[in-house]
Amino acid sequence: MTLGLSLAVGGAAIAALAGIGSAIGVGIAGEAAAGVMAEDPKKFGQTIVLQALPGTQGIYGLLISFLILVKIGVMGGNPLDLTFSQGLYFLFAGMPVGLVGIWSAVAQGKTCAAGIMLISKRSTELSKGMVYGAMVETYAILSLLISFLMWNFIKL
Amino acid sequence: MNKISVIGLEEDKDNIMTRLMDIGVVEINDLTDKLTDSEWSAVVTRDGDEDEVSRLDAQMSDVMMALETLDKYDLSKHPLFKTREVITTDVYKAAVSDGSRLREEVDQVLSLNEQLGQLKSEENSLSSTRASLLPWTSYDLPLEHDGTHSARVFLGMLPNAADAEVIRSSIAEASPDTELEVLGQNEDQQFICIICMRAEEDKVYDVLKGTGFSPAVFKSMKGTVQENLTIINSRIEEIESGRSQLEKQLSEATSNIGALKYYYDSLLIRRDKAEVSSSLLRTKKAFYFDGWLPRDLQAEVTKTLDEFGCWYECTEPERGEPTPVLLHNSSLVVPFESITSMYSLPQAYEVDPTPILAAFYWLFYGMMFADIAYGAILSIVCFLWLHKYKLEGMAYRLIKCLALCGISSVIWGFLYGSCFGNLIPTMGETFFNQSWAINALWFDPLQDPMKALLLSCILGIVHLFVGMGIAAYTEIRNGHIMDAVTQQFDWYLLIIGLILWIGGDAVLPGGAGAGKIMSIIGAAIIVGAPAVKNKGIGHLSGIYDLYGITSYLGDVLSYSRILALGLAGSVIAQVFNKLASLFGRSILGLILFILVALIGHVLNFAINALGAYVHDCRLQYVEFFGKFYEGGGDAFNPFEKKTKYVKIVKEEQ
Repeated sequence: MTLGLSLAVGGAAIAALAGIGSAIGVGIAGEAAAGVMAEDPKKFGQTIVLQALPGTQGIYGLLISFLILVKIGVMGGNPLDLTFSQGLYFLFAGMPVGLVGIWSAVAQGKTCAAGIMLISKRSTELSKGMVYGAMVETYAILSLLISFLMWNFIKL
Repeated sequence: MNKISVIGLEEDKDNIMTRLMDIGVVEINDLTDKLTDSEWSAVVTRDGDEDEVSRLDAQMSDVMMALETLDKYDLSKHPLFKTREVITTDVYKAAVSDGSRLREEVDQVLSLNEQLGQLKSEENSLSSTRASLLPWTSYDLPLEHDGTHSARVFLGMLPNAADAEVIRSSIAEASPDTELEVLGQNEDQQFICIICMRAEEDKVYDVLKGTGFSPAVFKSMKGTVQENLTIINSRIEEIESGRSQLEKQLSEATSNIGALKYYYDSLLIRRDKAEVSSSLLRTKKAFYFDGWLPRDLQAEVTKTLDEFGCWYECTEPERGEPTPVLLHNSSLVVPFESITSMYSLPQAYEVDPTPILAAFYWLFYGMMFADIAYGAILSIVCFLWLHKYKLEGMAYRLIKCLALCGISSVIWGFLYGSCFGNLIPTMGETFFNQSWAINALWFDPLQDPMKALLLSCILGIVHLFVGMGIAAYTEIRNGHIMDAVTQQFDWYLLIIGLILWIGGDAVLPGGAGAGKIMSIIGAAIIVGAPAVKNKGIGHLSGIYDLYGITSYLGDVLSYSRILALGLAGSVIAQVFNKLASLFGRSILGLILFILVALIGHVLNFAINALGAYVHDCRLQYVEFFGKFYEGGGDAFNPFEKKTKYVKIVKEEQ
């Protein structure tokens, strides 16, 4: 086990941290959803869609994390001997999706909670609430893209 | 859309309105504004019977309440999606007839429900009385009895914290003849009975004052606790049997749900008819209304009006007059109206963006959800859904839209070579030791993400340019050719020029030079046009306009989500395939493989189908519509049978 490999595993760990944001975001939206359910149990289907939206950041994090683990061979069982700078590169590649994921999912959770309030008053406006949530998600997607491109271009 | 004005005889009004409602293509305007005009108000008055409307509304809410009550006792299977039942006029008339039987049925259900409610609340109060009596079961004096001539008996509660022995001894000091007995205890308090001389009652109370003692109150109860409990228990039993009796009657009444739904709709139709007449104007013998109707459906309406000898006039709306909007599109484009109308309908004078939106929406959805299997599943599920449930309106359009987008996903799945991600190669490797590769017909975005990114951004630029083109077309149609040049065409030049400048030499030699010239001309027009047109400080506003290049950059980069979402979908699929294959080559491994892959792909499917839908919408609304679209049109809302439960069709000939 080299220092480079350890750093690369660190990159995978940081990417997976996006799950923190998703957990908080889904939690915030879930609280709002439960409140709406108390008034109108028919809205379960609609609220669950909005509650699920902030969950994607965690999945993006998982994705990059997994890609790093595969590329450095940890997933396949033959870990590569990475140099220090290669390891550092993977560490940085994990950062965009991990860090942006944390905050964007929290913000998205709040937006989705507001969207859930919206459909509690106007049940036909589900899609609009979803589009508001998608606005926030844009930045998680961009960071996913950057992380992916970084991961893609490293030559081993 | 044409404007129609009609004058007819008051005596024909009901028949005319019924016929118009059957045809269902005329939107009737509210004419109350006209009454503020003295020329009109001198001749006509407002029509309509508001009492009738509120009477029908009250009846409808009764029926609704009855239906809601019966719903709880209805054990038959509910369909997952509510659709209107299609019935013929004859069936409908036979079921509703004059409504009096159903009216009685509604009253019956409501009264049963009310009785049930009363029984429930009585049961509640009895149960709480019973709970308050239970701790006293060992007390066998009648409750109304407060003692003899010289002795006093009273009951009360002490908190658990108070020690009964200590209190007993302190009472014994103050009044030696007093008896204190602890009858029972629960988690909060102890229940005590005290017998003392009437003369010493005050002394006893003085001792009890500091202990947290509270006297028990049994309002007007007579007899012993046991007797009371027996009475209460037998009453509760009676209530329970009464309740089950009533519930049985309600369950039996559920067979009428169907007819009650028809009845509700019949009331709804009558209410709408009564309500629309308040939009009409009338004199003693005649009525007047105006409204809108689609040009191509005019003939049927005018035929009816001719039959009744009405005077009418159809005119084209004036320019700029607020006109309701009805979208006309070919059957392939109609499903995408759900996307346009979710944003906002176009103004009557605007270009309907739906056909162009449809093409790009379909294309982008396929790219974001590019998978042969996912797309096929989406399409098949949606088409089956449409086949099984007779959806109407926007729900129909949305599901049809997704069904079509699924086809796009299949096509892109083939182009990118993805079927459940890399399920087939993974299975081949894991279980058969063979390499079953699915070759991409075009390229695999995982192997060459830069190519896919470039493709996304180029399609984005095309999308934006089409949007700007629509804006330019509108300007030119309105005779403002110069505006089109200074607001759209110069940007075309600048953006295409810049792209050529950067990468043009790779396409054809000298491309970069041409691009340089194009972008300079474009920028010059952007900066120069306000300098010519505006005054004062406005001369320089072109420089600020040029800064708008950053927003174009942002718009184009926003299309990178097409690649990112596509990648997310296929990589997550691969992650699950990989996880599934970790269990190795054995029977157990195969079972676990299927299980993990199934769960993973269901999850991935749901997230990505939803993500592609939402983000595709965003690209249309923010980037595309932002370039040209105003929206804010009012939907055409014809006077028709807007029933809730049934769709009444004429008997088939």
